[in-house]
Amino acid sequence: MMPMALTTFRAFLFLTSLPETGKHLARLVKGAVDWWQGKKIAVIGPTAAGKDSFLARLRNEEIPRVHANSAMGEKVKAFDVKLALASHQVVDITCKGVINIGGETDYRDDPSGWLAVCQDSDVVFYVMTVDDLAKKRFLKGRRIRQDLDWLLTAMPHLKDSALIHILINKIDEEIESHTDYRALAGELAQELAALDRTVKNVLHPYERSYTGATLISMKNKQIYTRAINTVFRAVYCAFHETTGFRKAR
Amino acid sequence: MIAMRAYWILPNREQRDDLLASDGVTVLPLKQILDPARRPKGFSHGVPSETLEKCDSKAWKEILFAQRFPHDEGGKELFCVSCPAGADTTGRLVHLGLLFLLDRNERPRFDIPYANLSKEDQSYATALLERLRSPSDPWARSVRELSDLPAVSGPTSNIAVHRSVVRFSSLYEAGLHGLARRSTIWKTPLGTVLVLILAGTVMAISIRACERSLRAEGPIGVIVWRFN
Repeated sequence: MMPMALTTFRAFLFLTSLPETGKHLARLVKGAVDWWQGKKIAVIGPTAAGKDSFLARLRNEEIPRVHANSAMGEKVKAFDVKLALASHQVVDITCKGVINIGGETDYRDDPSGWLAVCQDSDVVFYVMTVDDLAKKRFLKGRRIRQDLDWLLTAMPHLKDSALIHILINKIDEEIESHTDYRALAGELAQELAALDRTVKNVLHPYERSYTGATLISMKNKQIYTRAINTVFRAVYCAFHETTGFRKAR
Repeated sequence: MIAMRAYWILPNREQRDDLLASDGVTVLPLKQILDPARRPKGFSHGVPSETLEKCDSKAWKEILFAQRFPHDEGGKELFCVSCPAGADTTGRLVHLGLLFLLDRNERPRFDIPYANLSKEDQSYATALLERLRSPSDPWARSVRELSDLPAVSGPTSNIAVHRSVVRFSSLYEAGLHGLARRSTIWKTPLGTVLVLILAGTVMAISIRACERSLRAEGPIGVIVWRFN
């Protein structure tokens, strides 16, 4: 099991070393740690995309072997996120006001569902899978696109400063099903660019709230650790950009 | 005249984007029966994770979770019972639910057809209906107790849920050793207690100040309230 995980991680490092997929990975900076203290986050996304696993990882817990399809919105106690930096430092970030909710469209369209979860949040994490990306479910009429359309309608009800980041989960499965990583990197780069364009188009005029998409694996701890640092930094950087833009306006 | 409407909320075994329901004859999206925009806050289509975490995984098959919501604008009361019903394609636990839309003073009847359900779902449906009619099953008893309550004024459940986004009044507490009846003593929220203490203190100070004023200013017939 471990050798396979290591190989997957090495392939992931290779993928992220290429410029087009690599921009989805970078190191965390100190300022980001201070900014993240006590931020409220919301985790939404389709069924079985990995929302529960993401919460488990954030809480430094192992992904439960048996877990359940979330049946109702449930509050999650405030918890500290331990981020392992590249320099062997570990930083604590407190997450407050997390609500765990199901991924079915029933929850999305329920006013006490996704909207209630996102309303007070500083950062909204939208979790999808590499399969959603590969099967272009972000195109019109498909599930990811419907969720993006929903996000646009929800934006006026969110905090002015709310940021959205997309996590593309299960990259480990994609790596394990490929041997030609250069070709895979090429495919991913094209798909990621298409997703980026779609998100920006759909979220207009709120596209500045979108902080990018990051390839991640909730299952593979090494990939998760490396990717989450990117996420935290990307969101922090985007916050500064949007703040500058708002001030300029 | 039969007013009660009952539906199965089917387990999401294929990890579909929407939940499906069945009236025993046809399968249709749950949102066609219960518009998500009109769903009461805290509505659950299955057993909450909180309850699963509290119970031993070997005892999950015994869990029955029921909710009752007061009449909506259309005059319908909502009653829902759910239980674990196996796993989905990736091994996650899924739920089977029974949803009732009831008129005033109406009680749910646990005799719903299930012939059009899949074989796997049929076995869980049969077991659920049998349990709900069983006098010896403590979980089923808690569900019937909930349905027999006089009209409820807010969300009510058979088992306490502390992590829900709305507050539920509950009959029982679930734990490793099964169900324990909750105390019926009215639990005052901390905020209310503090306000009462504060009000009592202000009143005591006022009375004391008044007494002093009466003693000091009494002879000229004027009552002066002094607040220190």
